[in-house]
Amino acid sequence: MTDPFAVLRDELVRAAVVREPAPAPARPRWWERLTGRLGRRSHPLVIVLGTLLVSGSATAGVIALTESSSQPLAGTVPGRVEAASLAGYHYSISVTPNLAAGEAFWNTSISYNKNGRFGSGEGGGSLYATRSNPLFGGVGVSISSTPSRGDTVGYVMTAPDVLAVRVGDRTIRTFSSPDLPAGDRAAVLFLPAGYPNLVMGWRPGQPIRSHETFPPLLGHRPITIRTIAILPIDRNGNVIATSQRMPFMPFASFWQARSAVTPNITESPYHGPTRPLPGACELAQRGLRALTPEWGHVINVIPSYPDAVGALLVSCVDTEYYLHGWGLEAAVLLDARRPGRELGTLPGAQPVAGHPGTVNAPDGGLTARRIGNAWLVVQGGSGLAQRLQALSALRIGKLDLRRVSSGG
Amino acid sequence: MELSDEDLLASGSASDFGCFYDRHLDAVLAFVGRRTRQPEAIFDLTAETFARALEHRGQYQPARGPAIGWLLGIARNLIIDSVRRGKIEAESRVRLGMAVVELDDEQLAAIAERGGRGLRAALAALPEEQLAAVIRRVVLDEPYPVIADGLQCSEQVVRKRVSRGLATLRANLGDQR
Repeated sequence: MTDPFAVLRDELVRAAVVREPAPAPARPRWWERLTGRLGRRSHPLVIVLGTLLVSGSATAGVIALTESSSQPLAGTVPGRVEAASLAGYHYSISVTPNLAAGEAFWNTSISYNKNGRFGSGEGGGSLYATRSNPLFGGVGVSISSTPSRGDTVGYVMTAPDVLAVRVGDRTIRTFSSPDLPAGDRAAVLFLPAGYPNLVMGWRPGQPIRSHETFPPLLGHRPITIRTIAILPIDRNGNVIATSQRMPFMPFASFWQARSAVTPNITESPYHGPTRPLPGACELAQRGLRALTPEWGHVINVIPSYPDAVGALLVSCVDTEYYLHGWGLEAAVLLDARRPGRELGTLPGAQPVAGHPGTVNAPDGGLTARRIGNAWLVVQGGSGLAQRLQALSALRIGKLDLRRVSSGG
Repeated sequence: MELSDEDLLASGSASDFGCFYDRHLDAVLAFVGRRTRQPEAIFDLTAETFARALEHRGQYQPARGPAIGWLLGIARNLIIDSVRRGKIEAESRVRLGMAVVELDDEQLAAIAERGGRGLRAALAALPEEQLAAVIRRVVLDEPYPVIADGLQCSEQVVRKRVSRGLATLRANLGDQR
């Protein structure tokens, strides 16, 4: 018998070989002299110098050379209108908080439509800004995002101290907006057909322009995608070195009501909790019997994310409710840096007339009521009226701020 | 000298990722095997967990905890997603171009046996007070003072119980780290 886990190992190693880093390009002799003279112990300085050399110059003058304004968060894709192109489509970029308990991300996405007809859409990643990772959301390499659809839109969210981003020879000034997390900024740019995929996470010494090869899939030939790094620029015109990290995700216990739809996968019947276990936060319901809790997550410790540099919210409980055939996700959101001590605004949210303390973010399909330093949030459903109906029946049953952790 | 998990993940080398797989396969299998007994699901969840770890290995952050915790976190999220969506994700395996592994009855029986042992047996072998401390600290992620309060003992005692319990678990699971 062939050990299936040995086969799996072979497959993983084969996939890893394809993604092994390419040999570093030959560096000019001045680079060797410079790094040799500074020695290994001077690594941070080498990085800074290397950054300035790659970026071409060290001062704000770089921005002024080819600087341009960003495109807005919503607009029309330019270019020649043809069958496979998104040219002429209206695009809209939205940022919403992640509602899963224990997780603190901003979910970004772009959607395209034309004459009310949905064209396509793409999630842009889920992260938040830190000092070492000032770019989040936006762009990335994947087969599904190969630049084959004609003119399209690229975008990236940034930390507050990123004044511009550089893409090739273009430098695009970032902007803030009430539709973004408070303090964070964004850059939006039009990409002509065939433009390389934008990638984040560039580090000094890496090539700006590169490529990524995806192995053969379903009998097709390997796919090679050209990439170009998107670089964050600070107020002095310097490139900020970045290092992408996957955020910490604490354990969240899952529960599912007996009434919930049984998954149609080859899996044993569900034997886990059918009600939420006691947690640091709990949702409670009063009235509206048609609103039924189906499944959700609770956490015992509320994580804090002191490394976040822009606004960030963390969910401490989430529950999926059904109401007249519609799914609505409810959650309690806290400030992720100082849970329970302060509370930021929700991107794109406007007060709802006649409902004090309640706001609505139409792009994210999200409505929230402020309760102290927490947001009670409902997302989804048939529209604002249904979310308000659900919000009126829900309350925060428990919020134990003694269970806030000191670090994420 | 044996490389640390951090080194294995950071090197970008295919053979190093193979070593990482060898080191943690049993733990992932035991973790997944506790939550589903279907051998196909055990295999798919294990495969997708490691594929996702391969895709995101550059993002592992040692300061946030040991790699095994990060790996089991990926597995946990996949399990939750599979229940929520009614299917086991294969996104990372597809993106990586990994072939679908066809399993015969003999292989399925072997997977079921392998997924069913390990963590369950190792946990059962722990003294009761260590078991409670390990589960509350590692599985429920409770802070030490809260556990100490609940178990009516000092924080130092809880730390010792968790430490001893994890050492026993590592030994029983054959973790070489």
